[in-house]
Amino acid sequence: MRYQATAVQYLKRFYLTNSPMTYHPKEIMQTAVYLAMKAEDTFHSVRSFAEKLDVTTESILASEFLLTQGLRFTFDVRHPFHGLEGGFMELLAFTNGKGEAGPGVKKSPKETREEMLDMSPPPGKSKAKDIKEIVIRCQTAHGKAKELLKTSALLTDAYFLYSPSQLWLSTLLIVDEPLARFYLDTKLPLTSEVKPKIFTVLRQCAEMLRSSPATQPDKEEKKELKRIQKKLEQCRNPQKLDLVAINRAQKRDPDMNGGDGLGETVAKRRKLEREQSMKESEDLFGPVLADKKG
Amino acid sequence: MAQPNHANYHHAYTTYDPDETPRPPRPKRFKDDKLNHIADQLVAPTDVFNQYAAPQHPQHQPPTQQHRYPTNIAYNKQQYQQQYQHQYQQQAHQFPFTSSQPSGTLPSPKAIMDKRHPSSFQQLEKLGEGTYATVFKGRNRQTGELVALKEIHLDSEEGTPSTAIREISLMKELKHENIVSLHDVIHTDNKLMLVFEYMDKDLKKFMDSRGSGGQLDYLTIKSFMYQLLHGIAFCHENRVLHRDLKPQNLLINNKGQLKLADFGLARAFGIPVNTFSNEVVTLWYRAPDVLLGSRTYNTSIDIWSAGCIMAEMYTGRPLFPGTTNEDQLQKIFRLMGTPSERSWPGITAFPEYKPGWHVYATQDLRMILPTVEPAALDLLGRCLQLRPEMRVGAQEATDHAWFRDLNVGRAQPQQQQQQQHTQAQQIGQGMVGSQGQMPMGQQQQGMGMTAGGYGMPAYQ
Repeated sequence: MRYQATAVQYLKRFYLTNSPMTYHPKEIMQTAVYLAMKAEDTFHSVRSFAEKLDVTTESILASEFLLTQGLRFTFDVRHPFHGLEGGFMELLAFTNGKGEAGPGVKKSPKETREEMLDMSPPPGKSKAKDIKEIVIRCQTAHGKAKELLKTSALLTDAYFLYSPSQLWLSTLLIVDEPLARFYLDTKLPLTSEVKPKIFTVLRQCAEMLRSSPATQPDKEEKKELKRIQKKLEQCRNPQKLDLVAINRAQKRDPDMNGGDGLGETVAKRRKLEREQSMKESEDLFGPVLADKKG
Repeated sequence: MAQPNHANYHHAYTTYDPDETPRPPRPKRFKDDKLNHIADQLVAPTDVFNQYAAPQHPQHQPPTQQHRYPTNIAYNKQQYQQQYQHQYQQQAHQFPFTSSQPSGTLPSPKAIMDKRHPSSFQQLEKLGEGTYATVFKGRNRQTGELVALKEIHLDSEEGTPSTAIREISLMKELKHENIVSLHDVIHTDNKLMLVFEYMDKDLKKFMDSRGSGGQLDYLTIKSFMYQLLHGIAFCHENRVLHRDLKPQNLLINNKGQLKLADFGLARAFGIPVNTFSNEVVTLWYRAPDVLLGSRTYNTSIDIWSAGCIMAEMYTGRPLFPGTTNEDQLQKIFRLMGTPSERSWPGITAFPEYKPGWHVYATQDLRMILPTVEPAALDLLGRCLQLRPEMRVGAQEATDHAWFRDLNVGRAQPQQQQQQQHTQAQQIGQGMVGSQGQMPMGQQQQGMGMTAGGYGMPAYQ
């Protein structure tokens, strides 16, 4: 699911500039998922979402502003999933003899198809007998690569360091190296100087993906997690412990600097602000600047 | 010449106080140096914004060397360059801190955030009110620059409205001369404010102000259509559907520029077919496949809207002013002919298909636009196709013969750009989603990998 991957990236981006000792990841996580759903067009009402998580709606909304600010309103996350699908479709087109090679690569679709049949098999497998086996091979690679993108790519820092196309190509490199090589050969001429560079980067990326922790912590890790959790309880920033209460206080008194906004309705305050600024626009210095500019 | 995208986020600095005690450099927090670098950049917001908003796409490049506007109306190339130059010089003048301050000594984002307050803009008259936002004219108190302030109502139970989130998300990435640019986002505890560049009028008001029954002269129409299609092409290239194009959402400034605005106003779930009566205005520009209940609509729906808008500029009246969904379809069929399974295979499968429609014959567009030149009618005909797959693509439309005389001044650079572009695109096929800008940090790594935003190496 796309929004889940987005939510993970929101968390990672947020904690680049914030400490888990200030804001507990468990709280931010809920909000990250909720915000990602909004950003990715899979919107659910906050009530139904809170019910599923068995928390209050307030606890989700309390840190929304905090999170949007921490992300500096950069909500767009480019994922490698689309690219993988596109590459997979291209590979299938090659098996049909319909795929066009990239510019500068002088190969007819037929030649490419032949080459595909001739491709060296994945380790431990025998060479493909017909094109059907190649199709199955592509499908297997596609499925495995997708799985890696859903797990390793999200659990490591790969999204920060590599582009979406680098990400999916390196997953392909991990699951079926000859296939990845074949794919790049259809894109770039054999003599291309950038090819070694691409492979160096893809290898680095693949290395990072391989170093990913497992999706489920093992016994040792669970123990460690418990220890960290305990430690975190003792060293959290006491001022930011109760985000809901902070949020409530801010809502009651949005100015926080003591302004007399307490009893006012939102509309009334807006009106006052508007009048104030209208008055200021009549100000001596206001219009002069505008004239100067125009 | 200064980087243009500094401009988009300079407000953070206009309120920055140079006397504030600089913070010590941040300690290293990550094992990986690249991550430390990214974190440092996050601390220095210009760099990060730069990175987020940096024009990766060749078409993002500021129109400094060449310009992509028709020269024969409203302003000329020289004027345009001067205007830009002026703008850049002004920026350089405004931000003495950006270049001299090392990133480590800038105040934390938090400190800047706190200072970036709605009060740094003087709120002027109200420009319009929508269901989820009110738009004001505003002036930057420091620079005197005019802006449009879109104040999002935060009263809803759902926190920040998803439409606002969508709009911010898209607008932060879409930097183009025919798309209204988002300068800044200001969020205080009780309101969210989007700061847009100021435009003088929307197309509706522009047409009304012309005094000739809303009709525009042919040169203006050509220029506006060119710019409109250019903006749409850019959106589509970046996998964004506008979904709500109408004259009210196209903004015009007094230099003759047209820009797309109001992204994200289209509902997150796609276009609702059953609308309330006060929303019918958007019906007029809605494509027949959407009216028929299609859920798999694509980029072609924006092209249909563009066609409707084009006809409206010629006549001064909306082309299909329907009152209900059904009426809207009738009005379209009256001109375009009632489709049948023969003319549109698969039409009977649409949810809103009714077998009892009155059968109209297809009219010639010349009947309603008798004085319009054939090339323009040809383009209009290509936009206004009942079947979505028959409609022209936005990029293709900008290359239409009708625009040929507009293209003269910019043929060469455009060609170069396009070559680069297509090459990269062909190579990058199957790397969909890697075009355009990359999210944070992805331009960090060396290895000659992909300076351009294609996620693929530079070949030259």
